[in-house]
Parts: sequence; C-alpha cells; structure tokens
Amino acid sequence: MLDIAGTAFDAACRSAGGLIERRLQLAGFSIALRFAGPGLVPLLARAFSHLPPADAGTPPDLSIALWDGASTGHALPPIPGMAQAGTGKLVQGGSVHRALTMSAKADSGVVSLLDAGHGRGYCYVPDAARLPASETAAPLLAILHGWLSGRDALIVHAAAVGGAQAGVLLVGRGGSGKSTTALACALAGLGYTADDYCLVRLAPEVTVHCLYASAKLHPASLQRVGMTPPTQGERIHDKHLLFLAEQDRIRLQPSFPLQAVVVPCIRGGPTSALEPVSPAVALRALAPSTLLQLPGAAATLLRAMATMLHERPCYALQLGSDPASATTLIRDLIGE
Amino acid sequence: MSTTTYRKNDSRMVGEIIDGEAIIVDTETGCYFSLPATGAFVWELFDRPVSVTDIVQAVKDHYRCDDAAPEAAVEAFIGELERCALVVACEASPDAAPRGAPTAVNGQAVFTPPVVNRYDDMKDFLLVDPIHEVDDTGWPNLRR
Repeated sequence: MLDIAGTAFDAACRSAGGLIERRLQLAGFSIALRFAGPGLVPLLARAFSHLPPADAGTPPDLSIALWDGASTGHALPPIPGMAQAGTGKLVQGGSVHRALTMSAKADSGVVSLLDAGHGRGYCYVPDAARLPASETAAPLLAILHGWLSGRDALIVHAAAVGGAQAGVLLVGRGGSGKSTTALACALAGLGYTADDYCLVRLAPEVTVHCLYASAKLHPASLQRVGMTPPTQGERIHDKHLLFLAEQDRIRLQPSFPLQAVVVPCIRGGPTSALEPVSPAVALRALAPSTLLQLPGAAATLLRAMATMLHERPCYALQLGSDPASATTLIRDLIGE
Repeated sequence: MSTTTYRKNDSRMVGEIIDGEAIIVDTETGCYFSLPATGAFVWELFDRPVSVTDIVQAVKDHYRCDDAAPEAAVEAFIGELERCALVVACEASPDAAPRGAPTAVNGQAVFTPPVVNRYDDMKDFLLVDPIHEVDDTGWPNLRR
C-alpha cells in the first residue's frame, strides 16, 4: 500500500522539478518534510515556522512526503482493499510490522498514510489551490498523532501558556474560553504555546511543546482582549486564522514544564475565580474533544492523558468578563 | 438476581480510572460518561467477564453496606451500563482466575448507590468515518 503512495510521490517529484526538504526539530524529535515541488511549502510549512531546523546529516525520526495532485499531475491512485479493512488500521498481509494507519478528510480530500514502525508518512492533497484554511492551521495532525502514539508523547486538544519554568494547559470543549484566555495571557506578557493543539512529552518530566504557530480566534474574542480583528487573511468558519510567529505583540513559548491544568468555564460577573478540582474533572474536560478529533489509538491516548493528569494540580477557572482578572490568576498560579 | 455475565464493550468504549472516578468515551457516538466512587469500583470488575452475582459479592466484600442492600442498586446500575452500551452480555469465562482487589477503592468506604453520569455535548465533534464512505474503487475516492 505504501509502495503505491511512494510511486506516486516519486512521479510527482519528477513532474514538479525536484524535491524540497525541510528538517525540523519538534519536541526533541527530528522531522523531515519532503515536498514534491514548491506548491505545498507555503501552505503546510507555515504553521511550523517557529520550529528550529534539525541536523540534515542524521536520519530523521519521521519522514513525511507531501504532494498535491493538481500541480504535479500525479494523483494518489485508488488503493483497493482498504475499504474492507475496517476502521483506521490496516495490517499489510504477510508482515505484522507493516501496520499502516490512514485517514481521509471528507471536506478537503487530504489523505494521510503512516507506517509508524518505519517512520514514514505520506500526505496527499488533491489540489493545493483548494486546500482549506483548517489544513494550513494544523497540518499533518493525523500523521503526527499516529506516530507519537506509544512514544511517551501525545497531542492534546488544549490551549497552553506559560514561561520557561512553568505553564498551564487550558482544557475544555470549544466555546469554553480556552482561546480567549490564552490570548489574554499572551498579550499580558506570558508566553503563548498553543491555541488548539499542543504536543506533550511525558518523560523524563511532563513538558508541553508548541506544535503549531497558529491560532483560530473569533472576532469577539479578539475585541474582548483589545485586538483589532484583521481585515484580510484566512478564516476558518467565523474565526480569523493568525500565524503567531508573525504577530509582534505575542511571544511564542517553545515549551514549558507542566505546572497545572485549568478548566475554563464562563460565568457572570466581572472577576474570575480559580478553584481546585479533581484530576477526574480535568480528564472529563480534556479527553472527549481530544479523542474525537484525533481518532486512532484511543485507549493509548486516554491512558497517556490520565498519566499526564495523575497527581497534577487541576483547577476550574470561572471566567468573568474582565480578561485581566483571569490573567492575574494564571500568572500567580505559575509564579510569573 | 440475574445470572447474566457481562464485560466491557471494548469495541467502542475507552475508559480510565483517575482519582477514584471512571471516565469513559464512546468513540462511536461521541457521548462520554463519568462513574464516580462505587461506580468506578464496579466498572473495574468488568475487565473480565463477570456475573451480577459476583459483582454484588465484591461490593459487599469491599464496602460497608450497613443497612443498605446493594443488590437492587447494583442491578439497576448494571442495567444502565448496558443501556448505554458500556457493557455487553457475554459468555462466562470458563477458566477465570480468582479476581484480585480492584484499585479504585480505598479502605472500607460506606456503600453508596453507583450512578452513571452521561454527557452528550461532544457529539458534534465526531469525525465521519471515512472507511465506510468510500466507493467501490477504494481510497481515496469518496462515495458521492
């Protein structure tokens, strides 16, 4: 199955005039993004612009081949047999080590293939010109999620803010106030690590890493923290897509040791309040949205989240209408 | 009392016990559940096929039931677990080893009737399963 994708990718490289490679360091892992020609580079590399380059002289931990069918003239051929394989995972006949995971996005047509054991992935885009903003905001999410499973690391649906010594995850379903709270903290001088997804390493200590330098923010959220919504740029539904490495007022924090987990919820009144809650409350806020947005390896992912929360201080952040009060509480919590 | 044997519905449910509470997510429907205290203790017993009789006995062994008769509460709880597809009826395991003490309980706590807390607010997040959306030619051609 991967041979079919590999053959199509090689042909796409020849059509596009060659291979363009970007080597990146992500949370201690070396990732190679191999593009067939330039078409997808500005679209899928932009969210990773904050990551330092990795040494090109050593083999990468994960190598991902990316191409688009329209500009290269080489579409991903149909892969017969996968429709009968069941949900998600296919074991290639004859070798239990060649377990493949795959996913396809119905809205964008993006197909992701991963051979986690050999550190090889493929990302096929039917037409770069029609790639939705959601893919440029969080590229390669399915491949990275699948590859990290079982590596003492996970991707979670959470916002994250902090400093070099400590920080917090903000967890909960969409509309709970995570993004607005994180943005308010960043504008108040805290480091910004995540808006929607972040990478967490569980060993040797729990550390949160900036996965994407992007944020999706509702115009009302921007106005609430005193930012003027941009008049241009991409939108995802009713939210503005911002690339944070390009924002002067926001400092990206590449990573931090996890100090606490915060569950925001909106309440009435001007001031915010922080109250301790059990890790079960935090897991209930974190797990469903993470599992349902990152299908595959659900049991492993849930166990990793529980490990992350075990004996971790957790709080409910009752959000008032004044963002400054929430920011003060979080700063006090992490000692910034 | 029912002699039916049940096990966890692992084909679609994933769960973890944390701080004495079971958090379970239904990966098919997007619903999720919390089973606090006694419920988490009973939930852990379903790691292997187990009968209602054995569950009731385990509850009596690990909780102070005082004047409460746990049988009715436990049976009602298991019925709710089955209605929510958290557990499924199954064949009894013929060579089941003696069951060790589950981890969810600390000491001789007083028995309180177990409850199932169900949450439906995440159902919209459920991704379409692309495997069942393809046409006969296979990936990546979606059925129109």
